[in-house]
Amino acid sequence: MKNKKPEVADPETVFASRSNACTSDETTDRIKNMIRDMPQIEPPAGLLRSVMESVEARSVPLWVRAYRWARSPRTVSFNFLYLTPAMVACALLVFLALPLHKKQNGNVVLNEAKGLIPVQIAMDMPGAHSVHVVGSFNGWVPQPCSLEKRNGSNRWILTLQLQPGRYEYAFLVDGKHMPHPDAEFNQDDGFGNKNTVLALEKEDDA
Amino acid sequence: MNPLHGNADPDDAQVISAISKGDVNAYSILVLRYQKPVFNLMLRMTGSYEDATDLTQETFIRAYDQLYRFQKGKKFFPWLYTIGLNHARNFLRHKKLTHYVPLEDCEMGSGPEYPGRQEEEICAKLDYEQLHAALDQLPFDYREAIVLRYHEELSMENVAEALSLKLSAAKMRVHRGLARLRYILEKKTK
Repeated sequence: MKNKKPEVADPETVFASRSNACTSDETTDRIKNMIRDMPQIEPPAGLLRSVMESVEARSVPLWVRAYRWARSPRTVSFNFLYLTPAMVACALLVFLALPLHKKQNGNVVLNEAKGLIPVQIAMDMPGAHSVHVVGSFNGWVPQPCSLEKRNGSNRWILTLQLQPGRYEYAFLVDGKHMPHPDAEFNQDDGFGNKNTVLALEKEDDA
Repeated sequence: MNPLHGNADPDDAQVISAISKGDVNAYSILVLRYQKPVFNLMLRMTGSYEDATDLTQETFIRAYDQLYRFQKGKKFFPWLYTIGLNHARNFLRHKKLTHYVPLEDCEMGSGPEYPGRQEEEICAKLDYEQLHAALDQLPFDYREAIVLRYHEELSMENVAEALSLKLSAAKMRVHRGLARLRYILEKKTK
């Protein structure tokens, strides 16, 4: 009788025989597990020593490290929600500070340049609740040029600091457009209203 | 005060903090912790024990030199892996080498994982040989994505960071790499 050749595990069939018995997911899981448990080669014993010898030789002084740290780019991340309180606080600060900055003792500075001429605009307007002045010096916008009422009188006053030149202006009395009632020169604005004309000259020229 | 004082097992952030304060020796903790995965990366990339040793050493030295760039709050290992991967790529570009790693260099079966020659262990060894061979056939970016995800057990975010990829691209590499690996293993065994 012929001796039967003993069966040897064929490396090429081991995976196949196992994977055939598995479902698709099980095969994938098995591959993952094999990768996880895959043996790794130990690094040479002297690696740590040689790295540390090189590193110690390259040790840099504190000021160099501080300089590098200061020069190195870094990512700054922020969340808009974190900024909200700061933005609200800034907006509030600007809102509160602007009138204080622009208007001190009823003196409005519309131009920071030298050679400004103080101009006091005043009118009697009994019964008015608010009086603003709009003109070519403030772009025809009533802010921040509101007149202040003197205590115990009907007189509304505002002092402006203006460059020499020719200006037109008018009052907004409770929102209603009107020229200065005591002005010498008024001019038609082309829209059915009249504006007061103000001509300022340098003191030398006057 | 040294942040490692009295701490037997400091985490990476504590070690890096100590190094940044001048404790050079603290770097040995990081080298010991990560020399094995970095060395094995280099072995897979070059197939040469000597080249892998040199590249591992250079990777750790480069990482030390660049440590001031390391962003606080990030994981050290993906950052180190990126340095190693780039260094190995440059090395291969200069030498025009492939990523093939001969199995005989890996000395399979000689380590402590294979103390005996029992049937089950031999079968297990054969499976790992096939796995290594199949991994070698993968493009290295697929292979490294799989190794990082399933061997180093990094999160997908850290795999993406180590490979300098977007998260979606990293997921795709792992998914396709795994499918390709499975295809190679099944094809080999038919």
